[in-house]
Formats: sequence, structure tokens, C-alpha cells
Amino acid sequence: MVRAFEKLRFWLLMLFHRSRTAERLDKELQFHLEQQIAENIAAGMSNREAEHAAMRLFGNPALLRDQITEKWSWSWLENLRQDAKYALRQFRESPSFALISVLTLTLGIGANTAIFTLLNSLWLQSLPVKDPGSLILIGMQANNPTSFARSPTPMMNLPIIESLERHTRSFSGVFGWCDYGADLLESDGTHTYPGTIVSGNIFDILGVRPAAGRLLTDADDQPGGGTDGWAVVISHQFWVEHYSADRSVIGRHVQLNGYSVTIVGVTPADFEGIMVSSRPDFYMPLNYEPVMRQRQRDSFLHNPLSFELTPMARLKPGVTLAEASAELAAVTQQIFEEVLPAAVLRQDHGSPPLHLTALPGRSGWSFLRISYRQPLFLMQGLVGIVLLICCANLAGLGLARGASRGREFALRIALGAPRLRLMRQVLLESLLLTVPGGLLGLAFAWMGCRVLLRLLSTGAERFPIALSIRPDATVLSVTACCAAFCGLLCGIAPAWMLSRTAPEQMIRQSANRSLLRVESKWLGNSFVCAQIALSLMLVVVAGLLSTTLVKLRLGHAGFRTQNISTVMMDLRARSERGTALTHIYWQMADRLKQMPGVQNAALVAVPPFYGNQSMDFSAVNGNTPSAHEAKQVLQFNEVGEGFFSTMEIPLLAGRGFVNSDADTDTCIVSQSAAKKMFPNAPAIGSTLRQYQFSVGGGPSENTCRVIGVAGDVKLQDLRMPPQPLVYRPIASDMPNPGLMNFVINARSLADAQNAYRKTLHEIAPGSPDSEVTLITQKMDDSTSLERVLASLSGFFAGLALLLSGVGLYGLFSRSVTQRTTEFGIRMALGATRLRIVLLVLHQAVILMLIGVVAGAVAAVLSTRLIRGFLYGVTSNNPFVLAGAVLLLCAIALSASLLPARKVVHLDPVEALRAE
Amino acid sequence: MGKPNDLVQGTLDLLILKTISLEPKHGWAIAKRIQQISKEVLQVQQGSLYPALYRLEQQGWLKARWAETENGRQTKFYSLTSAGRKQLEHEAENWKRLSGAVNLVIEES
Repeated sequence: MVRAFEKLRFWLLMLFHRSRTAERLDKELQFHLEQQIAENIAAGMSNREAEHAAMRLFGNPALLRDQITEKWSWSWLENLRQDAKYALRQFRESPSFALISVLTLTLGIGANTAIFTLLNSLWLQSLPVKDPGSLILIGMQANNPTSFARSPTPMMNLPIIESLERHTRSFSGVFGWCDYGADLLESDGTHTYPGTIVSGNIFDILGVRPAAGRLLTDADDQPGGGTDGWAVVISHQFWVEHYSADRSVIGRHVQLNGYSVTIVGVTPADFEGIMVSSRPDFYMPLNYEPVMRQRQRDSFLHNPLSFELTPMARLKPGVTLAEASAELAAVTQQIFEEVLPAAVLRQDHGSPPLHLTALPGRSGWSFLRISYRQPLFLMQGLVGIVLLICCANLAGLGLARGASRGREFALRIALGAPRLRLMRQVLLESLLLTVPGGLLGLAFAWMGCRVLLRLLSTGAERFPIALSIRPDATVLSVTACCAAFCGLLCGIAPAWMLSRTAPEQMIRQSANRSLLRVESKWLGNSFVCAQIALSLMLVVVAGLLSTTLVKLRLGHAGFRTQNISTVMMDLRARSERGTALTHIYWQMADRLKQMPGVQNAALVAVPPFYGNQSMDFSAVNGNTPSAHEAKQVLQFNEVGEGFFSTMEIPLLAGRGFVNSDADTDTCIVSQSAAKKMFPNAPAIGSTLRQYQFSVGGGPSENTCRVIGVAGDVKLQDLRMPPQPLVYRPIASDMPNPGLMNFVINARSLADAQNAYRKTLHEIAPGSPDSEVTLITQKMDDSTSLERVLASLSGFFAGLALLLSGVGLYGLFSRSVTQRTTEFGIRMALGATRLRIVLLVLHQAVILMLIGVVAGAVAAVLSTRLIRGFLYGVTSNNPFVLAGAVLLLCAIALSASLLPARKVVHLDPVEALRAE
Repeated sequence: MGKPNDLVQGTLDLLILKTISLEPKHGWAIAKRIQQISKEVLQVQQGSLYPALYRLEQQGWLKARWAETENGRQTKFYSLTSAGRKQLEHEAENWKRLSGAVNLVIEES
């Protein structure tokens, strides 16, 4: 008890009276020394002798003092403070070193944090709802996973969800979600906002509380709406930005997607839905969807063959993901039998080739997870390499600094500084640099994420990618780890060198002679080689991705892309249907062609780069009964008169369509489709059977006569080879919902827009206007991911080259300075300047060769991983590799030639006199 | 001459505690006293003495007082705390057992 008190007293004394205690310790030791001297004098020594003998016996008083104070509990903190102060003074003395280091770290850490933030937002962040851990997504998983259908996708429809609720017991609730644009009628016209249709029970299941008003309930999600009519909930952001957070907006009626709805409430500020990459402003009940579609036939809600809803469920307490998955797999057959039309089940011989499964739903869902999975991992890999280059660069820099401070350290060791303490100090210095580096890196990452999202959003369908960039604990700790990793990596090499410094040798050496020991040279050289090798890898990757982009954009799609634009006409509001509507289309196309500035125009059901449709076809052969014809899946499109001439797709045989009732049971096939369907006979005059499937009518089929063969084209995807394609005419009896597209060849975009507006005004006055888009714009959008990857990798490669160049330059200019005396002697002995320059270059060339060879091998091995991203270039393309090698050699040589220039102006007398 | 390293680990603590058990002493006096009593066999170096003193003080076995010596100099005097006295008894006991045992072994063989 007393002892504990004594201990505490001592501890507090050391905390608050350090300086007095230290002073007293000095006095105490001084007293001891004086006593010893007095004793020595008493033993008959002279004063001087007595003092020396006492000092010898006593040893190093400063060291003793340190040893004792070490025992004081707070000395480690004290030392840390001292070291930090010393380090900061060092930075003030060489601000350029500190600045370069911090900037390098900012780039390295920032780039890594940026990509990781995207990964984190897309995959890891939990939804801000009650107990997100017990949420699951219900997905379909193929029984035999192929490369096509590898990962389960959460896409279903309402009949399946309803059947699932009846047949399972694992869930306390299931709801469906589908992103759905919301056209809001405002005073200045109709504007489209991101929206979603959801089951009425969603907010109840998620446990979300309204910020104002109330949220949707099951009672709102009924055919015909609830007590408030069609109730919708708006997002907090929309409430603040459009209604200034005015509470009177609750209960207001607005026109949304053509009908009057009631705003009943506002979601809380942090809730942005379950789709992490979209941020709906309007939450509409599922049952509103058939109403918005105007015609029941177009609604997908009750269609068992549509897969538009993302189902999410909450597990009952105690039920695990695996148990839920097992139950879902067990009831799959039952659900499908109940929901799917018998004809579909028959196709799969009674048992569907896939089963239902449960996926973790803690972090919500995004379809970007499928398309951006590999690109983001690639980017993470690239920035990882950048970080390594930054570290190698800084470690080399730190080593050089350690070498130039060698004498200082040697002196301190000679004066009794413990090596461990000095090593700790060097490490602390590099860790201190990573603090501003990490903080600036976070800022850099924040901006970088925004830029990246904007770049990626150019290819998005309707709304920009609305990924929330929130730096959370995960991101911050990854950044901190990143920074600590850099700090250690940069500090460890100089610290290690320091531990091997021999003080006498170091002090004896003259100032400008080489203070580097063999190991340190070797270490510094290997850092430079590593930088060259890693940079080469990045340059090769950037070269491959850029080549891919160029090949994609310059590759011939098989049709004219210059000055071709497309536009979608919306005639859904008109009363005409069927044949009458088709006649309006024909008139529109005819009139459009005659407009000034328009060379040609034609109708098309699916314009280029707007997706595709495919159907089953079989070749009709008079001898085989139709049941035995082999079905093939072919791409399918419907086009009007003049489509081939407008798009400049060559007609290899036969004729094009005409907009008339004469062309109804005709078709034109692409060259590859002709080869596939009619390998042994001329395609013209043959007959194709087309199979269709509609929910109401079940399977149906009709035949069409081939009247022409067209050239192969890439109408849908530039990355894939041309697909076999069948064209059918825009015929008067086709079922259509009132939406039709045109392709226009006009002098300019403005001409096309004007021509379209005028024509629409003439033929279908009062119809909504639509934007004309250049097809090249659409091509750009469809290659946005490639563009982002190419520019990012190019940016990083440039950065790496810069860093490596600076690193090399630093290494060689130091080595030239250190060898000045040697060069002086050589010149005095008759060596020519050229010989000396060659001597310098010799070292550079060796380092360069090692780095380049290592980098080339690593590049060849690692670029195989990115084969999936390449188009029109193989991963080991010799031209790209050779180009990268040449580029690096050029940079390495110029980085070493600059310091070599100094040697040319070297005066041997001066150099020797400096010794 | 015995160097501090030659002392069995922990023995220095025992010697210091024993030396100041009668009256408070300063560091120099402690070293001299140990030297005297052991007939110059044990010589305690400053490098071990002062760290040991500070360690014992931190353990709460010694307490220190700033006082004047006989020739008028200010220095630190160490004395035993009650916990230190117990520790001394304990360590002395241990030492006797240990040295007795070592003697037995040596004389036996």
C-alpha cells in the first residue's frame, strides 16, 4: 500500500518535475565525481592526474545519465518529442527534400486511396439502415457456372417474389426494387429525375424512419393506389434542393410520369436506397408501374419472364445466410413451376438450369459490381505499382541523404549516441514525412474520385453514376496503413545502413569523397533498377490499353459513322395504333429525307450502340419437317427503306426494303448469317422461320423470304466481331408501343436536329421533341471505360517515368560529385574527357539494362492478366514492348547524360585542389 | 578485483538495501561502505550504482532526501522504506539459502 504510494509519487515526480530531478541527478553525479577526485588527491596524485583518473573510472557521465533517465517512465515520450523536433529542423534545413518526398507520397497514397474509396463505396460500405447484417439479396445462380453466367445476379420479377414469400420461412420480409426514371412536370416543362419503383413494405423491412411526413406502406402499393391515391416519397436531397425543406410539400399533388401523385414523405438524409451507384429522388410503389406504362401489355410488373426487380430480404433472427441459401435452392423448382409458363418449363425439360440463392445484402447492390469489377481491380493493381515506385524513389532519396549525413551520424555515434536511437530517429523522420503525405493524399483522393466518376459516367445509360464518396473508417485505416507502409519502407534502408556505419573510418574520410559503403551503393542501385523495371511495366500496360482504344475507335464497324446521328421519336401520346402508326413513321422518314442539309434518313428499331435483340431462327428446307429444323440464335433488328444506303452498309446481293405493305414477310441477312443458315445454297430466295415468345400468346412462329444479303457490321459492340444478323422491315402489322428511331445522314448535328424538329412538327404536331445524338458520340460513350483505363494508365506511366527519371538523375549526379577527385586524378594522368564521360555512362547503362530486362520479363508475365481488357492487340505485342523499352532507355540515358556534362567542364587542377 | 558484472544478478540490490538499513547514506558513501566491508573485494562502479539506486527508488523500496553532507555539500541521501525493509529481509533470506546451497555443493564434491 505504502509502496504503491511511493511508486506513484516517484512517477508523478518524473512527470511534473523532470527538469529539477534531472538537475539534481547531475548534482548527485557531480558530487560523486568530486569525492573520487578528493580521494585520489588524498592518495597522493596531482590535481590533474586525480581528475583524469576519476573521469576514467566514472566513464561517460552523459551516457550514464541517459541510462538512468531511461528508467523514468516518460523518457520514451520525451525522446520521441526530441527526435520529432530534430526531424522538423532537418526538414527546414533541406525543404526541397521534404517537399519532393511529401509530393511523391501524396501521389502514391492519394492514387491508392482514390481507387480503394471507389472499391469501398461499391462493395464494402454498409447501408445506413437497421441491422444491415441480416439483409440478403436473392439471386439466380446457374447450376453449371460458365464464364458467361459465373456470378449470381439478383434480378427477378414480382410473381417470383410473391411465390417466394409463400414458400420460404427464412425471411421476415421480401421487397423488390427497380430503378425507374421519374418525369416530373414542372413550371418550365418536364424534367427527368432518377427514381425507383419499390414494394410498399421496403421502408418497414429496412427500418428507415421518415425525415418528414410518412414513408410508403403496403397500403400504398395496391392496384389503383392507396388512400392518398398514388403516394410517392421524395429523397431528402430533392426535398432540400427543390422545395427548400418546406414541410408543406407533404400532401402536395404533382404530375409524375403523366399522372397525378401525392408526395407523402421524405426519406432521411443518409438513406440513398439499396443501389449504391444510383440515388433515387422519387420512390414510387411497384403497382404504379403498369399505370405509367399506359398499356398493360408493356408492363413488366406481372410478367414472369421479365427480370427487372432486385429482390432484397431480411433474415429472421437466428437464420444464417447458408440456411437461407439452402432453403431457396430447395424451393426453386416449386416456385418456377408455379410462376413460369408451362411452355418455358418444357424448353428446359421440366427442371430449370438455375437455382435461387442468397447473397449478402449488407452493402446493398449495384450492377456496376458486375461491369466494374475487373477494371477497378486493374486500376488498384496499377496504383499499387505506382506506390511501390514512389517508395523505391523515396528510399533511394533517403539513402542518399543518409550517406550525405554520414559524418554527422558517425560523429554522434562516436560521442556515445546509441545506434538504436539514431535508427529510430531516421525511421521517425520518414514516418513524419508520411503524415502530410497521407493527409494531402486524402485530399487528392477525394478530388481523384470525383474526376474518375465523372469520366466513367460518360458511358452511363441515363443518369451519372451516383456513388457516394464517403471516406469512412475503412478508407482512413487503409490510407493510414498505406502511409505507415511507405514510411517504414523509405526509412528502413537508411536506418539499416546507419546500423552498419563505422564511425572512425567515416570521420577520417574527407568531405567530398565517397561516404557510401559498398552495401549502400548496391542498395541504391537496386532501388533505381526496381524503379526502371516497375515503370517499364506501367508503360507497357499503358501502351497496350491505348492501342486497344485506338483499335476500337479506328477499327471499321462496317458502316458509315461520320455525320450519322440518331433520334428517338416518341408517339406514345397519339391515338393511332398499329398500321396507322406505321404509316406515320413512313411519312416521317420520307419527309425527313427531303429536308435541307439531310442527305439520307431511315427508320430503325434498335439504333447502333443502343443494345441488341436476338431471336431463334431456323432455315426452312422443303424436305425436312419443321420440328426437325435446327434453331439458331441470331441478332435481330427492324429497319426501314433506305437504311442500308444511309448507313452505307453494302448490299452484296438482292435489294433493300421498301416502306410499303409489299414488304412484310421479307428479310435481309448479313453475310455471316447467310453462311450460318444456308451454308450450301444461295441465301436469296431461301426462307427463314422466326420463333417468338409472348407472355399472353405463348410461342409463335412465322416465315420470311430472304430478299438481300448485307455486309457484316458491328451495330452493337465494337469489341466483338460482327454477329450474324437478320433484318426485318418496319412493316405495318408490327406490334409497337409508339417509340421509333431514325438514323439521319446530315451535314451537321444542327442540320439533323432542325430537320427532325420541322418534320415532326409537320407530320405529328404536338409530339414531344427529342434530342438528336451523333453516332460518334455514342461510340465514345460505349468506349468510355477503355478511355478511362487508357488515360489513367497513361497518367500513371507518365508519373512513373518522371519519378524514375528524377531518381536516376539524383543517383548519377551524386556519384559524379563523389568521384570528382578520382576523375581529376584520371584526367591528370592523361585520360580524355570522352573516356571519363563513358565511365559515368557505363554505370548508367548497366543499371538500365538490368532494370529494363527485369521489367520486360515482369511485363510479359503480368500483362497476361489484362488480356480481357485488350482488343486488337495481344498482351505480348512486340511493338508495344519495344516502344516501352526504347522510351525507358531514352529517359535513363538523358538522366545520366545531364550529370555527365559536369565532367566535361571539370578542371583537373580544381578537382585535385579540393582534396 | 570484482567488477559489478561479477556480482550475482540482483546481489547489488541486496548490498545497497543492507548498507542503508542502519542510517541514510548518499551514493558515494554507499559505494565506499560496500568496498570497505567487503575488504576491497567488491567495488561498485557508478555505472551500476546510480541506475540501481533509481530503480530501487522507483520500486518504492528506497526513499531519497536532499540534504547536506558533513562538509556542507548538497546531495541525495537514501534510506529504506518499510517495504524496502521487508524486501531486505526477504532478499537476505534468499541469499543465505542460495549461498548455503552453493557451499554445500562445493564442499561435497
